[in-house]
Amino acid sequence: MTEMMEVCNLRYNYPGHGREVLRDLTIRIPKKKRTALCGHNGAGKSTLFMHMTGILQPEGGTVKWNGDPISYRNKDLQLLRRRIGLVFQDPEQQLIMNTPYEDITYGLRNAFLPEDEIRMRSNQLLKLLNLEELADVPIHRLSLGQKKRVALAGVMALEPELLLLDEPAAYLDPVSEKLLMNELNRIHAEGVTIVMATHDMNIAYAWADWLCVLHQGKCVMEGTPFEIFENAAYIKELGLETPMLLEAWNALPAVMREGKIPPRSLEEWKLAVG
Amino acid sequence: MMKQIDSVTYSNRFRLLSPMWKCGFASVLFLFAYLTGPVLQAMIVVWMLIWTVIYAKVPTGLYARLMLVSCSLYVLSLPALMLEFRSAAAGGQIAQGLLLVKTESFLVYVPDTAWGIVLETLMRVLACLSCMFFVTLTTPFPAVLQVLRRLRIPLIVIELCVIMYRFIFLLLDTAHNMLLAQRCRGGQSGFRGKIRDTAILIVRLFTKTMDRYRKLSYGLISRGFTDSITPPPYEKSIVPLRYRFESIAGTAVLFVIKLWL
Repeated sequence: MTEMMEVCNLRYNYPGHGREVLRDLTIRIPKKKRTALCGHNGAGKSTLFMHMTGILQPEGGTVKWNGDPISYRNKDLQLLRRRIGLVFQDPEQQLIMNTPYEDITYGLRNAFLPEDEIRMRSNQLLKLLNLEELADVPIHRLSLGQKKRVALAGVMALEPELLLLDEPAAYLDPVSEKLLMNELNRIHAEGVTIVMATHDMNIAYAWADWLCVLHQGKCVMEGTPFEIFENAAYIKELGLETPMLLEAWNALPAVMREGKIPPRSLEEWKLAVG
Repeated sequence: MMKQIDSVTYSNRFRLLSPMWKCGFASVLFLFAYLTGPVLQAMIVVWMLIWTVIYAKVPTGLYARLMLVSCSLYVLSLPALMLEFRSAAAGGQIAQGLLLVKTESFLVYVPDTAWGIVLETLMRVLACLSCMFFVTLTTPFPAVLQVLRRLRIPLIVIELCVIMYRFIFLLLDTAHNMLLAQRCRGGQSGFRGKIRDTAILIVRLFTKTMDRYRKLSYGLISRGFTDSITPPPYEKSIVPLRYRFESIAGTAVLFVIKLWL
């Protein structure tokens, strides 16, 4: 497994916070895979993302990008942030401009691209994400799902190699969630490495190739979804849920399950059982 | 009303028309409104009403309400325009006018000349407002910013406008939601309760705003913020020949009438 990003013994404490948010956190992000970072609220997922993009500097430990520790010089950080895109949980946090079109062009303009290319890339992305009709609608009139897609488009415009998503499905209705997940799968198919922070174990189980479980600022488990959920007792001990689909699968008589890989989606379930 | 105005700017028929042309046209008429007399001003009011309500299809109700609200400021200034105070000791006689109050020490009256001033000011206010509303009701705010940029307004001013426009609605929504939450929990009742809960709301809004500011700065950094927020450059858009012709011909007619009067 080739690591794209590696975090070693990371320690961080927000000023005035009292206890450390990240405590000797060590984690690996495999290249070209879909990784899910699971854990409760306050486990340190968002703080880790801010370290991965160099927004926060660790008090101890290192963050490595393609094997080399990241440099905190302004120029190097600018380059790093073109290669790593971060989509925040609350889209209002990163939607700067007034319309989706303007907002998508914002990051491109910061990268000093020529205006013709900015226009071309923005239009392409609007088309790709089905946002053409919303291109000139003011952002404050969009729904949460639409805002999340615009935020994703704004980050994808810079064609990052690594995409970090902080709770992308939070507060979304099922239709918007499905649209977003389809979009993420399409982006991943194009070769982009994706890391998603979530506390929804159902999404993590269904979507991820690699799973990391964070607990009180530490990575306590790492592996494929099957490896992780094999240890269901420990997952429960951490206060997390096991995926509903897996629980239902395990509740089936052993004869029905024998020799079959546990399904990760409803479609796979139908094939396995039917 | 702010949300309604914003919504109309995106749904009217002049939305895609060149903002530069709209601003230029309104500016010329604004200048006319400022420099000419009541007859021409009345013509400008009617003409702008036709452009805004009939051509651009801005709702008449909204237009009328905006006009009324704006004119309320004019109404508030009427006493200063109309009333004359005179000391009774200094003669106490009014030349020509309507006597309102007379005491031993002073008298208050409306001189006959005041009516002319009131009418002139009213017509000027209406005409200037009509020109302003033509731009504000038919042009989306980002397009107005493009015009400002073309006019070489300092980038920092445009940046402030971008941020303000982006977050003012968010602030309104947050305040509205907090107000609803307070009402749902029995708050905002009685005079003292209203004062107390409004104070709490303002303090909470302030802390929320500071939190949002911190988060937004993270958002800006992650998106490669350099030193400024640059809006897209001005993009030319067309103006149908029919509108171009009508605006030029109409302005010319106004100019001729001005010379003639």
